[in-house]
Amino acid sequence: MTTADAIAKAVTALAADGAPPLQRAPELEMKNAPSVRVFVAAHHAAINAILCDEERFSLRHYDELLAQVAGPTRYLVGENDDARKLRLRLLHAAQGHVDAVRRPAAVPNDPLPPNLALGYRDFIATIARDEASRILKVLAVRGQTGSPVNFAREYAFLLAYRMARRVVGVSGPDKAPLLVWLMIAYRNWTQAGPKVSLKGEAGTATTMLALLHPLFGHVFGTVVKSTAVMRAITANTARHALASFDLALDKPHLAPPQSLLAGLHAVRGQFPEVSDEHYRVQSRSVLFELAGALVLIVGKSLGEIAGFAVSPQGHAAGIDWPGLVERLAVDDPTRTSHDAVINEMLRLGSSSQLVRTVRNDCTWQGVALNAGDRVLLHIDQASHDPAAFAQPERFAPAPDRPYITSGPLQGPHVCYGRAIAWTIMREAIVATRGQIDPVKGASLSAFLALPDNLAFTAA
Amino acid sequence: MTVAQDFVTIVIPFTDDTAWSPLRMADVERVLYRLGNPAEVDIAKRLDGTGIIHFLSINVIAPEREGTAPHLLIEATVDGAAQDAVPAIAEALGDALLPALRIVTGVTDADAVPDLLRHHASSITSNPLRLPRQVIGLPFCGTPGVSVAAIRDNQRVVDAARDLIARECLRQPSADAQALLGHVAANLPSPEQAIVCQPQPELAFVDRPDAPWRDPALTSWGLATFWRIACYHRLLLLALLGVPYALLVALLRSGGAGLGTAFAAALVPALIAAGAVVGLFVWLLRRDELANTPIDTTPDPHAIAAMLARENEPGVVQNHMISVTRLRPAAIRRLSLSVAFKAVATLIGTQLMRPGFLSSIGTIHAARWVVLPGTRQLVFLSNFDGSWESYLEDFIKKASEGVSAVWSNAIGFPATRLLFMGGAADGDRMKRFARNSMQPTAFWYSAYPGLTCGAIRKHAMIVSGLRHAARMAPVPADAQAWLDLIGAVPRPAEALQYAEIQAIAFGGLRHHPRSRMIALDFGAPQATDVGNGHPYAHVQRWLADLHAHDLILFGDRPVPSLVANIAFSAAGLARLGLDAEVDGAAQGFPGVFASGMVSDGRRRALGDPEALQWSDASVHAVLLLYARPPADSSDAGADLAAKTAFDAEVARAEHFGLAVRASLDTGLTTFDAAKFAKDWRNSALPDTAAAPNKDDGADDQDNADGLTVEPFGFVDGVSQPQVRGFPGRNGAGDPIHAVEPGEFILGYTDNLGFYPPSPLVTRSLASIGMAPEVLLDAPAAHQPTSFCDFTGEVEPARDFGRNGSYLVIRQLDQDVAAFNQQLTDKADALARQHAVGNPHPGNLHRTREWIAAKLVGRWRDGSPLIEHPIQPVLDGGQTALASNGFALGSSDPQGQRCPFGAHIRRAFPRDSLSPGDPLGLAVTNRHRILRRGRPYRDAEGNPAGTLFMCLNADIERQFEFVQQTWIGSPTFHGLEGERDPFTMHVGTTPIAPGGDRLTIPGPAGGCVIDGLARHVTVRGGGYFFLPGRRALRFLGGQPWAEAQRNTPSAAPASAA
Repeated sequence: MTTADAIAKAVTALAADGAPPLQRAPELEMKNAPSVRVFVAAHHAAINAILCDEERFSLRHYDELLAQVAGPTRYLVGENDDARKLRLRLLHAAQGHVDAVRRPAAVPNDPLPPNLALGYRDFIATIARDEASRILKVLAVRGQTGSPVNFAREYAFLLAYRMARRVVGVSGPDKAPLLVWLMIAYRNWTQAGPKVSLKGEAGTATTMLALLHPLFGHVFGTVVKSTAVMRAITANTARHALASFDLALDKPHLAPPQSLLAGLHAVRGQFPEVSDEHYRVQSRSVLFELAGALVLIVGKSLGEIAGFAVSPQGHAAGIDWPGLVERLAVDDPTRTSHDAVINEMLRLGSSSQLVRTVRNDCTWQGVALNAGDRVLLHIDQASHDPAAFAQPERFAPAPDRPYITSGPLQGPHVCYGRAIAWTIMREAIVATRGQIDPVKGASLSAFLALPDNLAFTAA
Repeated sequence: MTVAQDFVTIVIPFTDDTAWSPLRMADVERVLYRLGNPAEVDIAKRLDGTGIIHFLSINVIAPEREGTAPHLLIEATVDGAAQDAVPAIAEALGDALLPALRIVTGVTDADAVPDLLRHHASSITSNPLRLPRQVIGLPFCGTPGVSVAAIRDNQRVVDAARDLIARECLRQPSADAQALLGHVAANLPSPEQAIVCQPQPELAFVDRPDAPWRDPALTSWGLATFWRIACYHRLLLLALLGVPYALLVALLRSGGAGLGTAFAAALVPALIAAGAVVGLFVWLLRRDELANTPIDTTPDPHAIAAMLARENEPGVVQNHMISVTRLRPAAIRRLSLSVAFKAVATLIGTQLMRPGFLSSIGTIHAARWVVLPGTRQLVFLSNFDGSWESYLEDFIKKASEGVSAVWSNAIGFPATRLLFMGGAADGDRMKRFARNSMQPTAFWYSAYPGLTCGAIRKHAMIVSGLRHAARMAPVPADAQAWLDLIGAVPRPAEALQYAEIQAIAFGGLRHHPRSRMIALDFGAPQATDVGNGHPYAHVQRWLADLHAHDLILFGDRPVPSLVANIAFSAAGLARLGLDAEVDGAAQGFPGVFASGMVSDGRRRALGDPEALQWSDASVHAVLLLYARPPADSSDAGADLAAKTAFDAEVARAEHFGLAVRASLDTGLTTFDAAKFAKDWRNSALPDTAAAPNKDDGADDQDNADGLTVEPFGFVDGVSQPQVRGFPGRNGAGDPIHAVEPGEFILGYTDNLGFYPPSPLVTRSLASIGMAPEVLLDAPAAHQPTSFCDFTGEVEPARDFGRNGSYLVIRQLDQDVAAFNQQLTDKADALARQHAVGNPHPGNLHRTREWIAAKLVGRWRDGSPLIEHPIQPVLDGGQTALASNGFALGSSDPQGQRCPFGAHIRRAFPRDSLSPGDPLGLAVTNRHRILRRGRPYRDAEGNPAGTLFMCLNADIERQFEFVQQTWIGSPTFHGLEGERDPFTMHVGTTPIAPGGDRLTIPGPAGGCVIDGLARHVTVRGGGYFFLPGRRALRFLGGQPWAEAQRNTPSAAPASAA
């Protein structure tokens, strides 16, 4: 039985009347870790409760997985310890510096935190439009030859990397490591359609994606423990990826002055109590996570949204690509309607799972849990839970819908970069208007669980 | 401190040569934009610190096509060798540039930047083939030889000098240029003094006497020009001609020909081969020109907006532009581009253009064309003054051939012919092409953003002047030119020095209608004056007194109520010390002036009588007095006031020992237009009285401003030359009347572009207390120009004639009654006839006026017969003033309107002698005179005649020619036995037994009026010289200098 089958079996059991909120899935448990039991949650209410209950459900799972392959690097998706709190403070300080540098038009009395502030989102939107238009210009030249455009790799992931490069301030490595060459060669060998190149800027974007992909798979795809091969591959790619961040931290003046890296360098003086080594480690963690999130998650989400919009499922849900573009093109200074559309598209077209570790022996909603047990949160299922979303298969965006596609709705782990990501995706989609359109009958193909090819053509 | 400038060109290809390179280009441009255009303060400081960088720009050049790499182009203009400047650039910009270089090449270490830049640095060659580390292109430097340090130092000195002058002028308002120069040179603060004291090579752009660009033989593209170019390219010519020739000689020799035979036989084939090569080049070029399709599209407004956002920075007087075009694919374009580069480089190298100037464009600081290595991308970069629009207009108007030659090798340029012709001359399309090819300059630095090329040159000249202050001290014009530099700009050679020229040259002082001419005799040398060395010191004291009372009017100030102008005869000048110059000096006064109007030869030429009542033989100076009537005074009161003032001046002259030999009260009489019109209307015959007269009805209009009448009753002074540079409408171009100031004022170029001969003083006059070497300027050819050279040797000869003119005076008595009686008699006879062309048969008055008009060529109110042959306009004389641009020859080739013998056709035939030929007009305009005469009155105050006065630069060519060859010639214009029936005087010229006659051509044969008597008699006159201010001061000698010392505030400032 595959992991997917095991999860599906658990989800089916959870759907039965009177079923408990958690269903044990022994198929997901590891023989070499017999004390760790695995439960699955699929109901929206249960998942939401677990995500918001950090007293019982810890994120240390992610810390442990990272420690296996990336040394002291940690994500904000982890235990809310002192180091994580420091990383959050660093982020806010750096963003404050960026705000000062870019001298934004004053948005008086904006009650939102910096990462959600409309002014900052406008700043991100401006960059996103600029990058999207430049990419689309190149694609327009391509379009004149009649060649199709690979929306996933040549637009979604490339744009995501470009945004990461400008917002975070770290470039990918100039040369792809051997492992990346092998991965791309394998991809080109096994996948139909245009080959992927590792040359030039697009090659750097692909390299960065390839370096981050195993780590994300390792961290977010592992329920209990990953395989030794996976850990080896991840350690190798993470090492190369982190080298780029080390280089960037060594040469902060190479980064754009409005990037978070430049911000972190500039605000070092605000943290005299933090040692240089610790500051560097935590800074690198922040940058690494945000860059990874932008490069991989934004690119992946953008590809999946497009894939859903051009698919029969999208059509059945009541949304297609032109409709999506038009909905997002509507002017909304608050961006709430835009966010709702993105959330709705992710709810319908994306897939994700989260894992929590039971902190102590306890009984939760009638289920006895032992310390160390894993709870797998099936976000896809929760996102289609009729109890939370009326007519869950229909496209019906609304700001007040309880979307959990980006994590908890409240608490310390509310997704920090959500507003940035949603802004980028909105601008990226709107920018295609009149530039590129899906090829009729196109469908999204995947490679190693990531979007790989979606044929578009010049408008 | 003066060093050669060089051009740094660094072209670094991006490592990303994929289709996605535009993303990295954008990244790099963001980095560069942050550095600023103009450079941010911190960056500018760093570049300032190098002390050698004039300009620096950094741009990203898009890939030529997909699959090729973009380039990072760093270009700088630097002092010293380019390769030595690269490390300085790297040191100054390394950190700031590293983010861009990181994206371009992947380099992350600042220490690697110098090597990286050095590795990609190239020199510029205009050859079609380039060596490694070379790019094909053409550099141009607008301020050659002036280093960054010198530019900054010079500005400091100039600021200090301006401050000193401002304070000195407050302290000493009358200080002249020489005094101010000396003051500044002596009082500069120590740091600025140290700058001035530094040794400096000569400035490249100033007008040295031997400057090639000043040589008309070279700049007019004659044989001399081509020979000079051939010498410049002798090696190239040797290769093109000599090598084939040598090969042919060798071939013939190998075939058994003798040496001489081989040399001779090879010549023609070698020339043919060279011609064939040139012909092939021309054919291929022309073929590709015809294949070119000009790109005539409107520039993208967003692109324009992006460019404008980085142009015209407030506070910056310069701009930078970059254009990227692509060479046409034809192989011949590589060669034709080099030909274009070579052509421009040759003009620069042979100095056929002033160093720092492209053609006459002097607003380019530094520019270059380069072809990016390995591409066909032609990049033009320029640092220039002012707006882009003005810059391109300069190119279009002044250097379109050069621009076309280079840019026409690019795809889409406006159509050209044989590389140089057409193209950029189509200015609007050239600008569209340019804008379409341009991109915003990403980063740009200027070491002196507030200075134009003109200011830099000016500052350099000012410092050069201070450095050579001792040399300049005795040269008034040089000192004045230096002071002009401080104030604004130096006086161009053609600009008139109004303050130096007596006012009568600029107009007839018509607001001073009462006037008097006093002819003066200096008398004998006065024994009491021997002590100061000058025998006529009493005359000098008189002159000094006139000066002290500010009576002599020059052209630089409002006219007071009583003014005078003064002129001297040859005898007068000789008595004042210029005896040698009047009599026999190689560069002295012309013989016609020295001999005077009453010498036998002149008298015969002019047809003058044997004896005159007064002449230049006995008169040494004439004082021309003019008075404006006091406000609200009656005629009698005005007359009395004028007489009193004039008498006082007579008394002043007599007080200093001068004697009056002649005195004529002159004055202006206004033309009575109303009476003339009324008489005309009243004279209508009964059968024509009711006939509409389209021109009539204006008889009650006021007299047109400025129309005065001569004693015979005709409006006078209507037609005058329009002298370029004179104030008022005289400055405007006029196809008929425009003449150059040198036709009248010595020291300026004449209609042919040459300086008229001017009397020079080449000897010391210290023994009589006169100082020509200090007070007089150098001859015209040695006058400082707009690009003064203060370093050359001082020309020893001094120009007495500068700003002066020859004044011809003739007292012409007019028998008005006899003239009018003659008109009546002739009209009485003619009015009875019907077939003689008279349009007013039977009308005595009108026939009379018609005959009078035929004599003159105008009706009495000035309306010309050419345009109004039947009757006068009767509009108060306004037509006369407004309608003087008519041609005679092309409008009236047979004289049927204006007879050939009419006065105005003789006095200035316009195109009459060669109808329609501009050359003919040019010929007649070589004989123009500026008339300044006035009617004079008899003892009872009645009009008695005309005191004819005219100014000219050459009495023989102008006044005497007009009098002898046109006015007095019996064969003028093919006529037989006729002379000017209006102004020809009684004298030695024979009169036919039946009297003079006038042929009036007409459609039906016309008529001849014979038996005409002359009613003009010459009573006196002479040739005089009207000196400029400096010459007059020089004549005043020591007394003038003493008077000036005693009354410094009264001395007018000697401002140009």
